[in-house]
Amino acid sequence: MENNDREIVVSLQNVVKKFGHLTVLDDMSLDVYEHETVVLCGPSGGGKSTLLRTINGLERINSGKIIYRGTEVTHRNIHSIRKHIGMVFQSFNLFSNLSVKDNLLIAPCKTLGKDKKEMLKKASDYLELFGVADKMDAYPHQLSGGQKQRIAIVRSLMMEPDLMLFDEPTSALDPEMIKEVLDAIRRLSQQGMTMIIVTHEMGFAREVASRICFLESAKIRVDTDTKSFFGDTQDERLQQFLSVILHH
Amino acid sequence: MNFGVIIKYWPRLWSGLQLTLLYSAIAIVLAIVWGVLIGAISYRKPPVIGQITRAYVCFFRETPLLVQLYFLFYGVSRYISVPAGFIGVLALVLNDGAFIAEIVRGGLQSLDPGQREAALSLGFNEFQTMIYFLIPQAWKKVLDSLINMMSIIIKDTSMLMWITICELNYQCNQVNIYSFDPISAYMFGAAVYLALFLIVQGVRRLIKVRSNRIDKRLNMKTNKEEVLNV
Repeated sequence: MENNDREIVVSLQNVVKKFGHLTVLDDMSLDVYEHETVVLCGPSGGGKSTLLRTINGLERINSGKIIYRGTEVTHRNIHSIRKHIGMVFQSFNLFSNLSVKDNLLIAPCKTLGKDKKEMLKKASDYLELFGVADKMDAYPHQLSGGQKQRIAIVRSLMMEPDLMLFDEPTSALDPEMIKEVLDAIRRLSQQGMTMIIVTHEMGFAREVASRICFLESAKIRVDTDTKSFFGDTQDERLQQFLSVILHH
Repeated sequence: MNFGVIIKYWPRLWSGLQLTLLYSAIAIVLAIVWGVLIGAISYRKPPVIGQITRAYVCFFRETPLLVQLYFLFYGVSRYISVPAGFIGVLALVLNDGAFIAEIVRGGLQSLDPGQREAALSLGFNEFQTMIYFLIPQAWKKVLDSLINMMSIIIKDTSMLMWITICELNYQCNQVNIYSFDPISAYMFGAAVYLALFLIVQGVRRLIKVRSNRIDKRLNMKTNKEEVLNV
């Protein structure tokens, strides 16, 4: 495949994650290449979100390896690796005690030591780009869900991430607001950002994903390029999942 | 109540009041700093230190302050000579700090865990996450309880007379001994503690009014924007 000459951004090797007796990730392996948009889908409890959260160390793995750009992720280097990995959450998680401006500026200024004036200019450029230019001085509780999520995306982008993780970014939104957030993600995909997205929006997945993984019962059952995922899949369970999700 | 007694022994009472204020102020500041620190640790539950803080909080919350005062005052001074004032502040900070720690831990636990995860995912370490995000958010929630603790600390200073500190309660006791007028002596003491309580409540109201005003201003701003958008 064309992937052979591209660099691997993050690689999961035989990762096992258990919550008590429940195995959530069972010997899972996955390579994500530069400029790829990988969509993780599948039924609830399949391990999609957990997989995403192990990549930036929000969940500790029981065994296996996670390798980011050739370096194994450990609890020692996780803080510096996280600075290169942006994460967007289902429930936005904007810092409720800070204004939008401070939400955007605090991370690059405090953890990367960037110049405040420069970052302010960058923040206002991004807000303009994502259609929330007038919200610079607002507080999170004054924003709609769609605005919050777009600002959360900008907050991650302020760190100039090398990889973006999206954990069901539209699941907590009204139907009307889903589009504005998907547009924002689509824009990033077009710019060649490497992304891993957990989503149930299969129409969107079909459009932006270069690759789709179908996870079920702690395993990756199907890992294929988007075209064949929706085309001639042989996997019975996936056929069943798609027929439900595409025709509801 | 005989005001003559109060006037006659005023210098004594005044010096007692000064000491009460001094010990209250020092103990309040240090107990809050200590309590926030211990509260943050017991919220995060690190392996060994977490268990030590839990044992500490349990011990100092569940044993009487007077026992702790005696234990520290007589126990410690058997081996090293330490001023009584130091022991007094230490006991107040350890005792009331344990209560504050539980308040702070509760406040931190009531926060959305997503706030911490968002901070970590942006590359902040645990300490920075605490300082920049979690403590400021929890602070707002626990402010009322902390101000309540201030009143309790002020009242707790009255125990310090038992370790030779001549604060207000001690001086009221002396006035009783000299004047044979317990009603006037202790009524005055009670009235002063009550007045201090009212001052603390005044401070609370001031803080509340200020933060409400800030909230209102923010809301007005958005309402105006909404009107303009329509």
